[in-house]
Amino acid sequence: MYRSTVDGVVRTAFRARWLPRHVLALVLIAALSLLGRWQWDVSYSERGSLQNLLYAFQWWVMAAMVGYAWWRLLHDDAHGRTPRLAKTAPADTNRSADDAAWPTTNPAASMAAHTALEPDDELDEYNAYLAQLNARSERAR
Amino acid sequence: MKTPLDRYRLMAYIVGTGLVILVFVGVPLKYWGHSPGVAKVVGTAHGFLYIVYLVTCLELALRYRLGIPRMLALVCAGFVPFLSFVVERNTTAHLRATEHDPPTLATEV
Repeated sequence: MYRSTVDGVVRTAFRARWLPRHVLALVLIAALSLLGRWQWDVSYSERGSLQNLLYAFQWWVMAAMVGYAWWRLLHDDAHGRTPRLAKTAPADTNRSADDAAWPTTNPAASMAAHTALEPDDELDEYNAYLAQLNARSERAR
Repeated sequence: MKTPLDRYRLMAYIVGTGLVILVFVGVPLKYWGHSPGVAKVVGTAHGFLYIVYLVTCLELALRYRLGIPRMLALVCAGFVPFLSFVVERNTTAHLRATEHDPPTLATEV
């Protein structure tokens, strides 16, 4: 598909649809790293304990997980890898909206993603439900 | 325990149950019963298990290309009581409906 693997990955990374994902990954990694740094400082303060030190590592592990997810999704996208569906034809039209959220360079998959862009009441309802849950957990914090 | 879904479901049950015990038994005992023992033990266990749970969620999300809303739900399910049971049920149904093969993504180059 690509003459050079690295070239393909770099080209994918510069695609427009990857811009929000780069931003999201950077913001999350920065925020999680700073939260870890904060707990690290707390652990050495007077009110600090081993627990705070462990929290610090917990935040940094989460930051690393975001980094790993970013790396994996970028490479999967560059190589046109999609999850295999068992009982559907190659140009499967019943790919879920979730799968379509990560479009690929695979032409069949892109077509499927396109069909998934039609209004989906169930998905909208689910997203509204999630937004509500998120707002509730934000308030609780 | 063969597929990422099995591993995720196991951790979702463990973390979900642990969180309910922590929030509805441990915390009331600590602040109203003045006995912090349960909260300390279950709270610490939950802290470590949450990270294991997140790893299983990450594996699941990457293998099956779950969308960002569902990823967000998986993360929140680890600290909102009872949410993990709902999200686990929903995610399992979703993956069963899309009929995924045993995952092969990670081994492909």
